[in-house]
Amino acid sequence: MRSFLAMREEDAALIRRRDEKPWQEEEMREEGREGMGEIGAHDSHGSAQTGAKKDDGDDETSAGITSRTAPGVVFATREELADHYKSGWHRFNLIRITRGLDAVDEEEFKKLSDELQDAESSSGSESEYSEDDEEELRELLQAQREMGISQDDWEEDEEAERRWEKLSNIVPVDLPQNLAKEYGNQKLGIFRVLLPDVNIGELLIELRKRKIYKGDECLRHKTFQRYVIRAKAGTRQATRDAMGGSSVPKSAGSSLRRYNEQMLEKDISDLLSSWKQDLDDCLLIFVFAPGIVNRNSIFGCQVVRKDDPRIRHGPNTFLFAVAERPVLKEVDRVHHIIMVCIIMSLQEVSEVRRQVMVRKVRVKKAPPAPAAAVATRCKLAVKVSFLLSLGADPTQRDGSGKVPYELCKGKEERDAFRRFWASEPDKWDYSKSQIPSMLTIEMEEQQKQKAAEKKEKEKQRKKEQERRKKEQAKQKKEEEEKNRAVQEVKLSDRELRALAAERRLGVTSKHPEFECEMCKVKASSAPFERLGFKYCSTSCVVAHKLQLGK
Amino acid sequence: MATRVQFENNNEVGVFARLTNSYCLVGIGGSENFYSVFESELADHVPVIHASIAGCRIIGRLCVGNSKGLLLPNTTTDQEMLHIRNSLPDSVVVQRIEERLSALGNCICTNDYVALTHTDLDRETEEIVADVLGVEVFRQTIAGNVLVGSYCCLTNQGGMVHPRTSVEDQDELSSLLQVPIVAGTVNRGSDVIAAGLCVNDWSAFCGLDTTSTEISVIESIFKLRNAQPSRIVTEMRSSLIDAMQS
Repeated sequence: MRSFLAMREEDAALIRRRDEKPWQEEEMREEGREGMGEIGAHDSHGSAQTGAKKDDGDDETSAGITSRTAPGVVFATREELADHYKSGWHRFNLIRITRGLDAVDEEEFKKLSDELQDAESSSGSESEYSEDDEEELRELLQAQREMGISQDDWEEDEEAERRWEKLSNIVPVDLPQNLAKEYGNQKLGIFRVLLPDVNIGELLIELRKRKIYKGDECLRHKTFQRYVIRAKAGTRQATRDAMGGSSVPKSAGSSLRRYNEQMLEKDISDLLSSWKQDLDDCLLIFVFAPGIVNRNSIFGCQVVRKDDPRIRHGPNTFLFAVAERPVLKEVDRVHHIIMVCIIMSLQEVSEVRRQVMVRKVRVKKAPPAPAAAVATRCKLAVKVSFLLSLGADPTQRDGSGKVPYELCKGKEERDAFRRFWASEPDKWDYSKSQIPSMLTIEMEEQQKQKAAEKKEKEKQRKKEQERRKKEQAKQKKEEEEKNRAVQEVKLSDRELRALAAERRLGVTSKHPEFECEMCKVKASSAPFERLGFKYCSTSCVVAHKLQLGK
Repeated sequence: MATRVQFENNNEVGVFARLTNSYCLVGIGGSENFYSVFESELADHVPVIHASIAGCRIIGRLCVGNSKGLLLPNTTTDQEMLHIRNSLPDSVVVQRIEERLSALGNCICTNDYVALTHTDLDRETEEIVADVLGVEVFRQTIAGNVLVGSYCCLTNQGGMVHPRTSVEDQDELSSLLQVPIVAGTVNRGSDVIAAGLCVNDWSAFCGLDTTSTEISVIESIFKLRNAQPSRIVTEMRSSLIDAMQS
């Protein structure tokens, strides 16, 4: 075999290497070196070009294969290299290289990935909640601090984003009197939804899957399942119907789903009515019913009113994860998470405050839905000023080197920053925070006044325009009237009478007056046209045709 | 032999055509000039097919394939897919894939044995590529570019990469792909190799601007001088027979 290889042309060697049979593998591995050498040899073949890779055959390949993504490692065979390509290390380094960073060696990578795994396991356990959620959140804070160091590393972005969301839902509050002694200088982390009445909620309702809790114990629950979602297209039938306008689908499936929707609504309202007593006793009610259709089915029956102060919407607006399928287990999970309070040290509190602020403004960059975006935007300005008043640093830069002010999307939030500057002009070095100028109360007053003046002017201008338009219309009408009168004078008696009759009947001739080409009578009805001539009747057309023929 | 060709005054011929060892897809142009160049070179050996993907002519950048299969992006309409499937030989598997990076031709570069892919490609897509095209899949970059499909042209005979690819990277690639690799340009210095060049094991088409030096590099690396489609069969057969003998 060896001697044979030496005889072959290089290209054939290449092809043969791919067609190697398993029973031949051993031999081939032996020959591997030689094969590689031939690749090199072939290359120096194409010497016309400058960029061609040239290696000196055996010398180069006997040194093994190196990879840019595996610094300091020499692979003996191609298989080893291929295995390396399947590893996370390779991928990690590839992405680092494309970002202009240096590849890390294996040890460094292991260290980084361990850190990452710690962080992942703490957020990964969300799906099946563990007993010690407190521990989990603590880990989260820990991971947070580590993330700060290597924020720009690739895989972390999404994970970090979720973690921030979770954090931003936690509010530090003072410990109750009796606990304060025991824990000293620490604070309580409570989920934002439970505020302002800090009592822990005792009830949670979810559309289609509902459950009533007292403390930790589930009192009532019920789940419904009905065929209402259109297969493949994936929206509810009612949503589709509302969208289509006049083109409502009439298929068998759609009517089936409509019927099911009605029944589902009935089921829900019946259930809520039967639970009325329990619901009235509840301190807080958590509803997860995204969309108008779902919301209507919950609030339609008037057992729970839409504007009830006990209602908290969610969970995806206040919890970190997007709600999973609405099954009982998910209700349990969400309930459990909300129930948890964590004890935080002061350092953690400041961390939360600082991070939440930077992140919260950033999260808004990709709002979940336009409606929600509007809602959060209104509240965000309040949140920004709240956080600033707590001592959050507006000059702090995030992983991509941006200050919070840059991340603001709306004027409201930006104004919140500027207002804060005006209120506390010496607290920070604002030149670092990229806030352009302060916004004092007088300035705002002035702006408001200016806006009001502008509005007034605009109003006046519009009024004037309207008046002018009306005048013009009137003038035009008068002119027309006059014209008609003049024309009518010219017409014969008979025509005048006909016109008057027409006007009485409300028939207005759309056609301009014309003279018949044959009988030379003036007419204002629809003309018969032939070859550009106009006639009053078909007989005139025929007569003129004959005349022309002659 | 490498042939110079233009698509409606545009030299980026690789954008408008997808050439493999068992078929050739050509974008629908205003005239038949482009198509007929391909047809005259290839029609005796492989089907040359007019095709569009998502109504676009830039099929070379949107789809990827080799002699065993063809992958289409999810934007391909049912009608277009049906047309392509009906026109291709039965041995070629056609599959549409759900992938966020829908310009598959820019993200994947393949011959009949190995494929290089974009670093961010889905795992699922990676598996589909391996199954449908029957290749080993490696995530790789070319000279720091993630768009391996644009900056690399690959056949069973050889490969051409972005001119800024370092010698070490070329060594690494040629060890991985088991074919000789060369850094070069097309279309009088364009570094977007795959956009200016479509090539299979016995023929190549490059933009009209390509210089004779560039052509000679292309012909030598892809072994196109007096290459015939039949050569593959004879060589494969001889190597198979060798393997049986030993």
